[in-house]
Amino acid sequence: MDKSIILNSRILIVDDQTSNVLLLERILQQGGYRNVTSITDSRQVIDQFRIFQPDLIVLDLMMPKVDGYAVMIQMKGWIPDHTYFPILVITADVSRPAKQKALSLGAKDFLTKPVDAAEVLLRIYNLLETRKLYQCIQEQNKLLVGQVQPALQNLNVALAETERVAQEYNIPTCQINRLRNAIVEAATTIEVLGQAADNHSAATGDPSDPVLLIAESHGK
Amino acid sequence: MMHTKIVLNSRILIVDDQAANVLLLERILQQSGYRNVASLTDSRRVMEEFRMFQPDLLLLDLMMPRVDGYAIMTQLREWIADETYFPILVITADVSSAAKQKALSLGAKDFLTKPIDTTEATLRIYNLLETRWLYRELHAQNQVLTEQVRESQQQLEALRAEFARITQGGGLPIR
Repeated sequence: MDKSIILNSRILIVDDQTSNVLLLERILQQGGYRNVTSITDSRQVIDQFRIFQPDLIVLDLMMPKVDGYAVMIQMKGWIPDHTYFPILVITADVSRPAKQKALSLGAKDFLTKPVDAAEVLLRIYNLLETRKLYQCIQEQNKLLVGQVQPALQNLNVALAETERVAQEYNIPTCQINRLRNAIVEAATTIEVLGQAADNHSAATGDPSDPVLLIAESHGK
Repeated sequence: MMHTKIVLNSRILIVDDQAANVLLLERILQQSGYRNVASLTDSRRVMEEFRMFQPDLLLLDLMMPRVDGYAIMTQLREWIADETYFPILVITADVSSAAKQKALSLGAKDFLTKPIDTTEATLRIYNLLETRWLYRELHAQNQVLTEQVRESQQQLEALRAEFARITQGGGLPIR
């Protein structure tokens, strides 16, 4: 179990029955969750979603005025594309059409009333774990893509500078060929790295730094 | 999001002593599009089946004669430890909190309550497999990238050395 998931995740509870909210809050607190917000008036859900920015919503299906289905429809516009946002639906209604409808609107899993503490914690943790995995893959991907472009640019500058200086000082081609090849080879590796990043990735190292050093020392 | 196709190619092992339950689960899995499903009604054969079939997920009944679900999870401990994330979905009619805690401590990742609900079974199996494949993806990409970063660093070292050779060897004057 990854404790950081429990310590850092923000959970929003939406249930019109105060006793349910209190029970869920107590279960989450005992499970170690520290960032929990609840609303009993489902009309406030979008406001709360924007202010609190939860990682997961625990949502009651049967509520007056705005029910769980309506909440999920409203939420659709607020969940950014390519984001895994888990909605855990609490329901006493176990009919198959009700479940299918909730799933089609974005529910990721169910909790049946009366809720069981172990299952509440388990299901919430599992969904948060999946969210974190998606985030990990996306963030590291972004980081890497951010490093690839500057690294390639630096290599191109180094290459151009090498050619320019060679020409200016009339250095024979054979003498700079090895340097030129080394630069092209490094650029190819970095490009492959970028492609791997595009296919979802996690990165280690900082390929741009050494290249930057070379380009700078060359420019001096 | 994770490709459904990858999830549907997963290998699922069902262990339940009741043939009726096995048939129901097999039908649910088939209807969802899973093609690699194996089943056991005799839980004593589980280790053998594990080695041969190498499942991505285990659907495990808790209450079985001779070797019960707890005993199987205990047997599987080493196998689970070697895996980054191996999901066990426990099927149970026994909903006592103590039973659940015990199953969790032995490696269960989630529960399905009997009588089995088709939607919940499909959902829970999918969710656990999705997590497994996300871990796999992260792990695989890490390995590939670590290798590539090492290669790139080696090339940059060569580049540096070559640059130093030319500038210091009098080939290229530093401006």
